[in-house]
Amino acid sequence: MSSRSQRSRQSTTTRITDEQIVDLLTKLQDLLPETRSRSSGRVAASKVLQETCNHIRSLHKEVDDLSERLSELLATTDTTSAQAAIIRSLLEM
Amino acid sequence: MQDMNAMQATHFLRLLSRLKPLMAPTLPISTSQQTKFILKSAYASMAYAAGPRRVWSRALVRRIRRNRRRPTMRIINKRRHVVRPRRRPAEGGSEELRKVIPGGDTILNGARLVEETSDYVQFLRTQVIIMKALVSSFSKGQHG
Repeated sequence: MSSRSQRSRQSTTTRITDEQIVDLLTKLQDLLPETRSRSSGRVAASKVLQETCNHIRSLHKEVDDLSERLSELLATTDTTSAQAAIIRSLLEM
Repeated sequence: MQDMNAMQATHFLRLLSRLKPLMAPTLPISTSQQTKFILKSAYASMAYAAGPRRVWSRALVRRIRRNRRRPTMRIINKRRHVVRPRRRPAEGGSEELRKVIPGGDTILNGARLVEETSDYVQFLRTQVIIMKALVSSFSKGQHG
């Protein structure tokens, strides 16, 4: 394991170490609900990477769907209601 | 963090407001064009809120600017053409992650990739919250 990471120091890409996976886990803890249930750190690096990729993809899909939804709503809303809604959401933010 | 959200939301709304003049009956745009505009605005406001310090935000801006230009002619300028060196396939299963993060293929260091990933996810998550709030706000307006 250590020899592999020694070799990768010369290569153009470095392997993501377990330490970095733990770091990623900590940072994403709130965002990856599956990781919350795991108390001890014995998580396969590949699993975390896979879950992160899936999570990002689902977020992309959400942005896509919400864009479509917003597009429909904007088309049917008149200008004054749209402005009122925008101001309302700004205040609620 | 709250300040970041407000900045991201304000920028998104500002971009959206540019849509209204385009929707005037004299100059109608198709629904799909509208959706594309909103989608671009979403990623643009994420990149704007994050600033140029991130690889992913710079890559997003580049992507958006590229799409804006009409691909009419393909001019191959030898001086500008950057040849990407063939990289050894990244170890540790991070190839997929690099594909999903904008500009991820240029991030060589594992630690940096982790930083960029968590940052990108935070801004993505915020964008979803902003858009959901807008959708519910617009929906309320319709019944109000």
